[in-house]
Parts: sequence; structure tokens; C-alpha cells
Amino acid sequence: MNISSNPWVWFSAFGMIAIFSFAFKENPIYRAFEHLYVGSAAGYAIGVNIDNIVKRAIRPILQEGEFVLIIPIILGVLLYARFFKSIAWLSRWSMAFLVGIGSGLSIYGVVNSQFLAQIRATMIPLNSVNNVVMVFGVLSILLYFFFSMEQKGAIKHSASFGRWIMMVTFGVSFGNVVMGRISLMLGALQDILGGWLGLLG
Amino acid sequence: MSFLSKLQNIDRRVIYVIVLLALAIPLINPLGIPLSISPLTEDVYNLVESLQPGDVVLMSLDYSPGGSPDVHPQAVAVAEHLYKKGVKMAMVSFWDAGPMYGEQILKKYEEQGLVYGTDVVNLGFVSGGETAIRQFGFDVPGTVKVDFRGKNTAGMPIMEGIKDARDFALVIDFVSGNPGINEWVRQVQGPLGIKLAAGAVTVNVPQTMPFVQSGQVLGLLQGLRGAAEYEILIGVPGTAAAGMDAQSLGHMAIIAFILVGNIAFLLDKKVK
Repeated sequence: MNISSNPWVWFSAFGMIAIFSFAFKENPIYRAFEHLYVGSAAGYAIGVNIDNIVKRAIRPILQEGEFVLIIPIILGVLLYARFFKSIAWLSRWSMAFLVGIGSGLSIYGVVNSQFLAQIRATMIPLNSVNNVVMVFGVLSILLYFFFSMEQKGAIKHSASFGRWIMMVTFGVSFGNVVMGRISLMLGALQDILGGWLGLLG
Repeated sequence: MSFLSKLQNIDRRVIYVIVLLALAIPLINPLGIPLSISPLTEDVYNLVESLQPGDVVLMSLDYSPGGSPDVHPQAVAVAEHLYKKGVKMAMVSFWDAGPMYGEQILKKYEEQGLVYGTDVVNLGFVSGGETAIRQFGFDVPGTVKVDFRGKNTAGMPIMEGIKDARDFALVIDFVSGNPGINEWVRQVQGPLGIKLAAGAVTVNVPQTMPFVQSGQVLGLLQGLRGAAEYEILIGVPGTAAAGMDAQSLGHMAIIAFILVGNIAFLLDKKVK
């Protein structure tokens, strides 16, 4: 056993134990560390973002004369106009710009890479069990969400198969969630048992 | 309350303690449970293995402390492989915590002699989510004129010849949410056709799999297990591989609880 002498490691370990204590009962130590975490995370994010603005906007304008960057800065500042009732309408310009750019980029990307590409990827030869399950799985799930025809006979059976496929998918997703949470817990335990208490080889 | 009812209503604190023990004991005393290597992990390994010394790989570190126990070991393992291959590493992040992890990784290799700006660079955080990924992918030097350490990227040897994301020999996105692999695929991989691989937090694996199946993502590290497999492939077992026994035992404990609860429910129903 080789306990760490680094005070930050001790502080980090106490923080993790304090947060874990919520699993047993809500308590003041948990609340204190929760607030500390939220505050420090917010502080870090603000610091990084201010640094970003200085490096990528203020400095290029002042040192390199890239005055075109003043436009996005103005649009960004206008977002805060919503806090002043008399000029709140100005924030709509920035929002309109953000929504327009965001929608334009997303629509193109989603249609091209997540819709057409996925359709192409499903048009495959039925020469293996995997391919057969995938093609019929996709078709049956699409039939499950096909509401223009009464679901009876072959369509009903196919839609039912689609429902089973979805259930399996949800099970896989849940299994991955459990595995992910265990991994997060393991990371914390390795820090406590290894980094702090020096119990791990 | 009957015994069967008690089994269906085990106090959550009992479950916590048993899962905690199932995780802690094998960490302290490893059991040596064998670990198979997933073909998706092998794909990432083979992609890195096919690179030539001097190639530049982009690591997009899109995760935060919440997902780092799952994803950071992947980035560490891949960086070790890149270092061994003599491949140059550029790091960028579209999450504000990302540059911090980049510095952690780079510190080790700078101590081992890699030169910042020549062999490695941390391009820092680029705000703007999906739009930023698009902008970066299409115009790397125009988007990151200054790196995380405040240095101009224009004169850096590692950035020579890098105009857009196609100039990287490989892009690997280590991701625990959005913006991440979805945005990389639809804004950069699709339009530019770059070679893209991913290391995803376990929770995100199912939503990333369609991109793997379609060939848009060429390889995928799946959570901590993916990191452990990669560590074994490169012959440097680290923290991820050390945690696999604990992960297996933790899963067994959860499976046991699910079985006990359901068997007790069925027996109880039969008795009533």
C-alpha cells in the first residue's frame, strides 16, 4: 500500500467518495461537492471560451486587422439584447442567423450522409445471415411504422417481426448503457484504489 | 414480507455494495479472465498500422470528465501506437474539456523527445459545434490560426501541407456525445471522403454502428473494452486492460440480480 502524498489526489478522492455517498443517502457533503463540481465546470468552460474569443476574434482584429470578424462579434453580442426589454427584438437577428446556418448545414448533411448513405448501405446482397437479418429487419421496422394500410395478414406478421427487432435493439442499447456506467465507475475506483491508496499494481 | 417478496425488493444499497465489491476485488486481485479482440478494434489497429512514419493523424478529442473514464484510455492507447509508428499527432477538440486531455497525452511524449509543433500539436478548442466541425474540416489553417498554447500554427512544420481534413492521413474522433461522430460524418466525411475512425463512449456505440456498417466510419473502439483490446493489440496493457476482470465480474453481478429478481417474481406468481 503506497498512499499518495499529493494533496490534489486526496482532494479528488474525497470528492469522488462524497459524490458516491449520494447512492446511500442525500447528505450535506454530497451537496457541497456537487455545487463545487458544477461551479468549477462552469468556471472552466467560461475560461476556455473567453480564451477562445480572445485568440480567435479579438487578437486577429487588433493585431492582424481582420475586421470582418467584427460581424460575428456583433451578432454574438446581440444575443444578450434579450435581457433588455426595449431592444430584445435585436436578438432575433442573431437567432435567425444561427437557425438559418444550422438548418442549412444540417439538412444537407443529414440527407446526404445519414439518409442516402444509409439507404445505399442497406441495398446489399442477401448472401449471409447478417445481411438477411439486416435487410429484413429494416423492411419490417419500416412496415411497423407504415400507417396507410390496415396491419393484418402478412403485413401484421412483418410489423410484429419489426417490433421484435426493435426490442432487441433497445436491449442492446440498455446493455451498452450498463456497460458504460460500469466503465465510469471503474475509472473512479481505479483513481481511488490506485491513484490515492496505491493498492493497484 | 415473504422471502420471495424480499428477493424482488432488495434494498438498492445492498445492490450498490455488491456491485462495488464485484468491481473492487478483481481490480486489486486480477483474475485473468481472457479477453477476445473485436474485429472493429482490429480495424482501427490495422488503419494505424498501415500509416507511414511522418504521416499526420488528427485526433478529435470530443469528450468531457463525464465520459473520460470510457474514452480517454482509448485516446491514450491510440496515441501510444501512433508514437511507436513515428506518426505525427495533431489534436483538436469541439468540446471545451478536450484540450486538457490533449495536454495530458502530449506531456508524456514531449518528455520522451517529441517536438511540439513538429511532431505533435494541440490545436485547442473550437467553439460552434457542428458548424465549427464543418469549418475546420474544409479549412484547417483558417480555423485554427492559433493553437491551445497561443502559438501561431502557420509556421509549424506539422501543419505544412495541411489545408483541409483530407490532408490528414487519418482522422479519429474520440467521442462521448454531440458534437461528435454524427457531425464529423455528415459535415466532413461525406462531402470530403476522409478516412474516419472513431472511439466512442459505450453508450454511443449503437448509434455509431450504422456508420460502421455503411463504411463511413472505418473502425470503432467500443468504450473501455475497446481501449483494453487496443492496449493488448499494441502489447502495452494499461489501465483499461486492468479493469476488464472487474467489468466482467460487475456484469455478472448485475445479471445475477436480474435473474434473481425475475425468478422470484415468477415463483411468487406461481405460489399466489
